[in-house]
Amino acid sequence: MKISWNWLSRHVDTAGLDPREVGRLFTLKVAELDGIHPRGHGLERVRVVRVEAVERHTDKLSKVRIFDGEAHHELVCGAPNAPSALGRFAVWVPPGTTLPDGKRIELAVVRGIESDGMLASKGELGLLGSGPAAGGDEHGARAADDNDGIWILDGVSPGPLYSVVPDLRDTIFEVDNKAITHRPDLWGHRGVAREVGCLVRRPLKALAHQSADGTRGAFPTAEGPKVTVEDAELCPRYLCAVFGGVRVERSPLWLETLLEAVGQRPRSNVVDLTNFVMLDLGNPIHAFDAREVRGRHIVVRRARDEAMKTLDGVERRLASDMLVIADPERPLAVAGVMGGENSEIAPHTEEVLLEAATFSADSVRKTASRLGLRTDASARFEKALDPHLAEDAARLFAHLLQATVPGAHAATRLVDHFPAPPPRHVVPLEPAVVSKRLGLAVALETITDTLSRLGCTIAGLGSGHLEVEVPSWRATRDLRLPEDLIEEVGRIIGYAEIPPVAPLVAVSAPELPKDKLQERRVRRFLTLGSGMSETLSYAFDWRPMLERLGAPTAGRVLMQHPISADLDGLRRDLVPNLLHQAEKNARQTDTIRLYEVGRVFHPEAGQLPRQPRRVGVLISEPAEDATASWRTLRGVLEGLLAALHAPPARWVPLAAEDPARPWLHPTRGAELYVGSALAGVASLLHPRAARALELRRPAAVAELDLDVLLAHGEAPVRHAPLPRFPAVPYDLAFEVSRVIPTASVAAAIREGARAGAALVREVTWLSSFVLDDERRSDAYHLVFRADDRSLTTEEVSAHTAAIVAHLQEALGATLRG
Amino acid sequence: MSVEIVQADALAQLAAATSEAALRELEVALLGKKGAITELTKMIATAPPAERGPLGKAINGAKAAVTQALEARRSALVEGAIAAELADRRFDVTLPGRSPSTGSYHPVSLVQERLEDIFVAMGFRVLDFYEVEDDFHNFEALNIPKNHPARDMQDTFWTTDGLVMRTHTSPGQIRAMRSIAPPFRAVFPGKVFRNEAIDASHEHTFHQLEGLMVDREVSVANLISTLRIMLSQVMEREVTIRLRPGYFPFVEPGFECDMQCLICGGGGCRVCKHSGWVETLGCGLVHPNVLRHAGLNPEEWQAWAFGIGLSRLVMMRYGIDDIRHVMGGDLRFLQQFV
Repeated sequence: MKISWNWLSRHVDTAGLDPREVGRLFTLKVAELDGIHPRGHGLERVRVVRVEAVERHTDKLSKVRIFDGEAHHELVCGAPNAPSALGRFAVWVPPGTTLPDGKRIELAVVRGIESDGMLASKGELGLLGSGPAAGGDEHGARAADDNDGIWILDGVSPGPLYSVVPDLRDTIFEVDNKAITHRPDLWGHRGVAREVGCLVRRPLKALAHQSADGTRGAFPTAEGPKVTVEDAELCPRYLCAVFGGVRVERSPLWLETLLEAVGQRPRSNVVDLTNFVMLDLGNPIHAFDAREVRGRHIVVRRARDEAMKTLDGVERRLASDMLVIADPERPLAVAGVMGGENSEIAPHTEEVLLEAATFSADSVRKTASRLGLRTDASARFEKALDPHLAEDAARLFAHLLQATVPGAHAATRLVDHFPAPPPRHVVPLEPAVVSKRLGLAVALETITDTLSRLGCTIAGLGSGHLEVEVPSWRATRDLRLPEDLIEEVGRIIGYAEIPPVAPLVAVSAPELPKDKLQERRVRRFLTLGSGMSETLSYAFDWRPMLERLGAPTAGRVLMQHPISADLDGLRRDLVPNLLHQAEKNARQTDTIRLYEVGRVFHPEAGQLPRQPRRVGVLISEPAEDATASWRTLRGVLEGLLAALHAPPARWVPLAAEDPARPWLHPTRGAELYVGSALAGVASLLHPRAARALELRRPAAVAELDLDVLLAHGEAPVRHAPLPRFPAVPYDLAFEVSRVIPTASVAAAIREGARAGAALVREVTWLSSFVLDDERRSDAYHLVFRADDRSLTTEEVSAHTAAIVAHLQEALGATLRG
Repeated sequence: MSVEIVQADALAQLAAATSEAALRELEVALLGKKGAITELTKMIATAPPAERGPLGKAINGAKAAVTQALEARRSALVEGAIAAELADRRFDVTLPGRSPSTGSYHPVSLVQERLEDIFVAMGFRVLDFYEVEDDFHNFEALNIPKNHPARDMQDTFWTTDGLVMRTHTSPGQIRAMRSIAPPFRAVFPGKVFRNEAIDASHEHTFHQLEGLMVDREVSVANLISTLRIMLSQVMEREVTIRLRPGYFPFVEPGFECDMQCLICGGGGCRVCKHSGWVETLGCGLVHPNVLRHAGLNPEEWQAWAFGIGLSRLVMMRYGIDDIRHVMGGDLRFLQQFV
């Protein structure tokens, strides 16, 4: 929201104040300003001139003769609206002037004509501001670009721009709208001025209609429009009156200047005045063409099954929980959101029915969001406005209309439907609690002085328990509890006054819980021990990846309004996102080692999804063959389990395709069991998936469930005494069938030692090589050792003979040379 | 063969040896069990008794001479080899090292672990909560009832089942207070989600760290002190902070905490948008309604809480100018952080 310094000065004396300093205080003590911008500065040489002649020169250019009050000049103007300036006033930038944007205007020759300066648009003068207009403009989008046309003025005389438009030089505060969502009172200049007054200890001025001589802003006694409020809950207060003698025309210059300063495009006097009152007091008001209100009867009711065209030209279907302003026959406006085209102020309007009301915040918010129609009005009503403000708004409009539109006058009394004014709101406050919560000794006088400056009335001074009556403009939602008042006192004193004080607490044991410790071990091993790079990816799947893998897209937690159709649901597994990232990296490198620690999401009917923590691993790098890829992956996982102090896993070969995880290779992958629990899966990439993706190197993937490992995996590390007797190494090589897994051969070796099994301390696979289609040769390194004696060669030979015999018998393996 | 001839032959061979290995072989061939010098001793047995004494002497003399010559030759060769290695100027120490492949930590993990360590040292526990939450924990219990305008401040991802991708780590406040007996202190980091378009400074998925302290008496002064310690520690230098009013429905009073810009030192630069201050976190005293929703009596227990944007902190810490790198998985980015 934009706030004009000149406008603030209508409400509080700003003489001698530095806008930047006030802006700094405002950010520190009230709400954040996104920016403080000068407006209309640097135009000392610019003059308002009378346009005396306009002559078409070419298609696009006009030759213009102007009078600046002292002399005549001729120049060339390319603005399409130049012809309509004839006989009116424009803004002239003489040669030798540098505009605020740095552009310098010189004498120039354009198409053979000497051009003496230029006629400027508001944009060229830097008057249109940089930021967007505040919120939606209820009278449609801003014209494409005001740079298209020069600034044309009426009813003035030639002279320096600053004399003709005295309040042009201004400073604009950009208030962060998000910082004032809880402050209904700050959505107009008066509320902001009230805070500024509190900060600099200056009083708020009386409202314009209050200071008037009594004839303005007052209403006659003539009967007003009939008002029926069917739902007082959604419309606690409704005021209206009819104004006659209206002539719709351009607003006076001061009004256009102020509106433009805060980013509002001037329309016509009546509409501009309603906007002015909204931006001044923060209470939106609406003007209807009174002739269009059938039977002079306003009905405030819930919408029926009906439609209406709003002022932006859109046909809106209304729902029964929306509030409308209607006459007995048809809806005229969506209450608190936007008026209707059927009763719009038109150039021929002579009678105006003015509405100033308070609508339910929740209802306006819901309606605006259902219609997708956030307006300046709805933004204010949904903050819960003070119902007393509506009456001020009506009276201020009456005063301003009569002051600015000759002949316009209130034609009826001010009808006021206000069945249940809210009770006074009193909050109890113990002064000692203020100091305790802030951690700063605050004197009672400081508390009472601060709250009084903010408009509170304080009773119970003698008792130690203050009774703080909150002003009506803060009473709707904002100041409800003692804590709210503590904040008011704290912010006005200034939080910089509070010294840092370390909390005094009992010493407690430092605690890094098991799951965090486990994640750290995972990262440490994979990063430092396995040369892998940790990555993070979205909780969302990348749907195109699932589709390319042939993975199901059902069975996931889905978003109502996904950020894009490609990110429509939550991941069930980590691998697809890792593959997505690997594929992008494959454009740069052929060595990809990625891992991610994160949650996956499995829907559960009627409750939160299961969200187990997992670690996903992906390796895609040069390797001699598939076996080498597999052994690298398996080695990483074995090391990881060891780093997590988990017992070695059982690797159970995958038996079939997994339709839920089509990236798993049915014959080159395994499930990992730790104890009896399934802890994860490891696999080479399915050949179909591999062909669907653009990875340069074969990929191996794995996913382990960290919660399962935490529950089943952790075995405390214990020291084992070092051996006292020597070990006897022994190497063996066998010919075996190629379908027999290596693990079975190793198991048979231990088994074959029978009585000596306890002496076989190590069975290490050394190598295998293929002999022919059927058979391969396996080499093993065995280590025998006893704890209580040195083994003899004879003893070891007896055991190896038993092993050889067993392998022959059990696996048909024969000893090689 | 006479002793003299054997000895002369042995000495000649020793003199001709050019390597330590050749010398070792010679030693075996001459002085070993079946070496030429050892063989000579067999002649003693067959010699006439009168000659045995002188022969033995001669053989011993030869053995001593050969042994001495061997040692002399060995030391000459060793010295020569050492001198040669020392004199070699062709060795190149500028060749690149050969190291085991090293991986990298994600920068968010690095900063997160650092923050966790800071807080663990101050007696906080570290907690972890779910990313998909229900309306109650993400909004309702945090004093954001249905139709509260604050719901519009956060563009929320709703699931088709009416659940919420948590919009902040604050639901953890409720879960922590409901599961841990006060007094306690805790931090809980994690991913949070906002349904908004991505650009260099906006992500729909980013990381926060929430801090919570529950005790019988806590104050804004305590909060300020803790925040200053945290930020100074994580930035590894003294930082200046300031609080100003900030609106979050679940705290009252609520603050925005700014840190004086570390780039310009407060003078104003592009990073701090020429204000001298960088908005760093939101914080405040926990609202009595929130304490009640969490099952605590606000007459008895007080709390403060803060939520800091980890992703922002990571970007500040490492000078990352585009937030999209954080979740992008580009190895050229990831491998910069160890």
